[in-house]
Amino acid sequence: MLEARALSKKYDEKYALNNLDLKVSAGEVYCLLGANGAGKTTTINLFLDFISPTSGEALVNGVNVADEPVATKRALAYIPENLVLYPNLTGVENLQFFAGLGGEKPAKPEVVQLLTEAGLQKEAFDRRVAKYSKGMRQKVGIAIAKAKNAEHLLLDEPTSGLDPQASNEFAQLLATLRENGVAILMATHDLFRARESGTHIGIMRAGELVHSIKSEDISLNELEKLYLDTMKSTVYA
Amino acid sequence: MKTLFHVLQFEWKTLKRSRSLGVLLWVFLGAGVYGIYFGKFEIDEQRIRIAEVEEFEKQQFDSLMLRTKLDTTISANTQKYNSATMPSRFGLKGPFVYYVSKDLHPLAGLCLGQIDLFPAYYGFHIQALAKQLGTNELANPMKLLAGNFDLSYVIVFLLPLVIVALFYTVYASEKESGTLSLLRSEPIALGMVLLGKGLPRVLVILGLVTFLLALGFVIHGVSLADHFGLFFRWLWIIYGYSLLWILFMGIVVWLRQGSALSAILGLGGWLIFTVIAPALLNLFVSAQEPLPNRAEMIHAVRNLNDKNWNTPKSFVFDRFYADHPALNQGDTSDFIKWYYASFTLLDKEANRLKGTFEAQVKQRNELLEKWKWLAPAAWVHEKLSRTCGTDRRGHMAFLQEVHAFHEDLKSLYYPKIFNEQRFTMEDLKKLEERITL
Amino acid sequence: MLKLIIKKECLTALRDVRLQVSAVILLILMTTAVLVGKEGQKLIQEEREEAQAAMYDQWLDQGNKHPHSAAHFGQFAFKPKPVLSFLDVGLDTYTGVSIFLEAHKQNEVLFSGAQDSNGMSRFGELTVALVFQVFLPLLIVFLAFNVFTKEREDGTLKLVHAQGLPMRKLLMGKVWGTYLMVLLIYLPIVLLAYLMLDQQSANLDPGITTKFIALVVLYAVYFLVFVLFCVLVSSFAKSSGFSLLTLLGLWIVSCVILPKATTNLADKVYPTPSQFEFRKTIKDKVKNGIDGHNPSDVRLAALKQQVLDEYGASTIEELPVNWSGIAMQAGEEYTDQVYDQEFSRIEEIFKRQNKLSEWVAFVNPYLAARHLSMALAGTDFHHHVAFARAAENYRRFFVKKMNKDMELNHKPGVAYSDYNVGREFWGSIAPFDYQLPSTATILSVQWRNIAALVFWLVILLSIAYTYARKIPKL
Repeated sequence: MLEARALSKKYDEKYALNNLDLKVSAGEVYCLLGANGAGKTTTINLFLDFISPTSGEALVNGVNVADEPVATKRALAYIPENLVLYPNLTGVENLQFFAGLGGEKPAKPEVVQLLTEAGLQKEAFDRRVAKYSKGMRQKVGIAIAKAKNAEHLLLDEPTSGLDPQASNEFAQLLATLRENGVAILMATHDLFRARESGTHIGIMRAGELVHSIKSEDISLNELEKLYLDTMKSTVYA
Repeated sequence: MKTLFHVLQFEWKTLKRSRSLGVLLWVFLGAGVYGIYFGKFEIDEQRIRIAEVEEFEKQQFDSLMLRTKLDTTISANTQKYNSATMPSRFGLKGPFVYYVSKDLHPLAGLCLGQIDLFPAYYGFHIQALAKQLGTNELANPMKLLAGNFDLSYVIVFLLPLVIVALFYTVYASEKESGTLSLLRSEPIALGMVLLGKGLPRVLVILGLVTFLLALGFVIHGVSLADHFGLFFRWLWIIYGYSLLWILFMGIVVWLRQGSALSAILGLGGWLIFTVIAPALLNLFVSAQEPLPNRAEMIHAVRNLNDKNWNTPKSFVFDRFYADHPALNQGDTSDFIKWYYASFTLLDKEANRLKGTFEAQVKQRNELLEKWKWLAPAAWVHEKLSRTCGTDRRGHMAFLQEVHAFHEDLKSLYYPKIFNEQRFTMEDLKKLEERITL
Repeated sequence: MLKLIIKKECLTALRDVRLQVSAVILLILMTTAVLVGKEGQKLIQEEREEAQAAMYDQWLDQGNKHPHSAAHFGQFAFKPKPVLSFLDVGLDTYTGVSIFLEAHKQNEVLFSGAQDSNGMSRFGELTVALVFQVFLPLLIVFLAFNVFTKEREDGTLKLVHAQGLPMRKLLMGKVWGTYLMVLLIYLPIVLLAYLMLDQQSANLDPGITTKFIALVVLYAVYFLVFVLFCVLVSSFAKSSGFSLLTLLGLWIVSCVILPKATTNLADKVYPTPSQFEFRKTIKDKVKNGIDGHNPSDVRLAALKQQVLDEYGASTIEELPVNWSGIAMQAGEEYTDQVYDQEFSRIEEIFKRQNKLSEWVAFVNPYLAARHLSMALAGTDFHHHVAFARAAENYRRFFVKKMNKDMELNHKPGVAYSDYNVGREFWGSIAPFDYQLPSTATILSVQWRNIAALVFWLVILLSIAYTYARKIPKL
């Protein structure tokens, strides 16, 4: 379970994240929406200990990330917006490398299986990543996350820049993970994808979580209206 | 430990596949091999020259010895016979010139040091030595200025550049390419990753220098088995120097800057430690403590010479006999004896002045020595040349040998001159031994 | 429009902290080099002038003696420390500083600084020339490596191009902008160095101002070549990283590796004979005649006959002049002839070796600048030879005068120790006075280096003008 308790991050005098309370349990997909600078990426970075909170706590399975940065990462997997791998290593080698950092280096058959499940075409396995498209790299990213057997997955705008087909494939992979009981926290700009893949949706504005809704309670149109209204009030706020 | 090994293993793979790195290492290796051959070429030339003068000396001596077999009943032969048996006339035409050459250290070619500044041999006769050592090997000053492209140069100057090039992206490339965020989401400390990335590079560097050094031994025909200690001494110095630079780059990496700034810092460090620091030290020392003037020394010797000639003979004899009572036969008018005694006085005076001069030079060089830690490159170069006897000290030791040899000759010549005797066959044998030495 | 670009380039550079720091460091280094260097030059020159004067006093005070004894007593020549050597020490550390001038013998110019120092001296002295030749180009690399690549990477190049600015103008704007920044560091140092030229300097070398100006022009051209080169590389490079690596690589090769390798190679192509060989050849030739068929005793006999015939005498004793004086001078002149021949041979070999470096200057402008700078500072090989020649000529002059006096005034029958001359005669030999070569003399042997620099400038300018249109905008 991912949990934020009164989590805040302040830069100079400005709050990038203000007093966030949030819970993502196993089998849930929590999608964070909001304009650039609303605090989505800050939230994810705090769970990963890329930055330290000004106040409050980010908990992974009840353990404070700031106290146990390395241990909590064992239970986390992360896919950034633009996933970059080592260009001189092949897909298989990249997977072996990153998965091996967290524990046992997976054997080749296991790697092949993971990559196949992630939907990467077989010919690409032993090609250097320098020649991969963004979608292909994202798939390796999913495989890395899966290899880690992490209970939580953090995604930072994973579908931006993907074509609709690749984006759809990505959503299907997320669904499988969710069904396997993974807790997923995803920052995104894609309202449609958030409504489709997410179990919960949060709308953020200026470092604050303004709305938190179950996605089954809202239609796509209502979501869009709510989002735009929230953003408008930003202008006047 | 396991994760470290894991990172190491993959970094090794990445390094192996990097083309620019391959080019860099091949270029460095090429420079190293060139340096080894250059050193060999220079040292072989020195050896040829030494062999040349030794051959000449032997040949001269042999033709002089032929004169001892001349039939002295024929009056035309007397002069020639005298030139081979009378110490004051000993020599083919003029006094016989002896050559003493430097014993070149087997590794001299790997670090030529200062040997290009000094002659590898001196030719001198029995008369005043002080007037005979003012000679240099012919050398284009442009070449002396440029210095030698030997293995020590490759290690002292170029190796740090390779280390800088190899390390400056250890952190920066992860950051700039974007793999850093994924890496940091893994349950492993960043320090461990950087260590894992650094270690293979350290191995590459150490492996490379070890290989070059071993190659240097092989090409210079120095047996590793016989000179194991020497090999380790070099290895010890080179490893220390490499690790110093690796440590420096470790600090640069630890600062976690972008590649451009890391490169500037690395290159700046190289400039400071190998170029600027020694150049600044030299500038200050040569302006603050200019080399002592030799003018005083030169004209003191000249004045003594003048005095020897223009005062009554007793001036020379009184002083000479005081130092060498054994040679005193009470003679105070013989020209030959006076002539040879005066040389001894000249040498004595010159040695005394040279002592003071050397003390001044030493004091000045000690000033440099005191600050040498500021310029590790110069320090290491000096250390390497010291192990090979190619530094100034090595040459000074050689000069000592020359002086000792001259003294030894005098111990053969002078008693004969002052007792007005000829060289016996036994004496000539002794001289021959010294020549073939 | 050009002004606008230049202004923009300057502002960008001036606001870059890294460049500010490097510029300040360089300025400090150069100021130190100028002040300390000039101080050192002055000290050394004073010391040598003093020594030269003291030695001449000794010559005057040597007392009454036979002129030939005086020739053996000998004189000394001290090489003046050229004024501009505080800007470029050149070969000064490696060439000797004084020479003993005596009868019968051409001594060597001895006692180089390098021989009396430990290994540290091989790392060179910090002079303005070192900074100009090696460090400033590095600064230029950092100033210019991304002037185009950055704009390309940020996409601003497209914007600028869309405004209708011709690429040639943009290119030249960047060149002049960068060059202006270089001048900003260069000119204060030039001014400072100029202020250091005091009365002592003018006394030592009347042509000092011309040489100084030539030196200033030389470096101004050298920097322009580097700026042009770096901006051009940046304009065609794929990325900033690539441009930086290329330029740094070239810098290391041209300023660090190539100069050493070229000189070492030259020594292999034109090997230097050994001192032993050199001396032995001279000895042999003096003994056996230059052509090998004219041994010294035959020469002496011929001379004797000639002199006897001239005075209509049948024996030496009948001669109204001193035969020893004549014979000695003739021997001296023959040795000089042999020596000149052999010395020229060595000099020719060295010149050929140096010429090879000069041709390589067409590939590596660093070498051209280095050679020219040394020449103008008065610390190159030509200057060393000029000094050695002047000293040798002085030796011949005074030894001849001693021999001539002996020939004419030392009457036959008078014992050696009974013919003495004194102070008045010693004073008739003027002290050794060596004038440094003029700028015209210096430049006349430097045409290859000048041509190399001009060649680089012309080539780069024409590339800039011809290919500017083809600079990739994306």
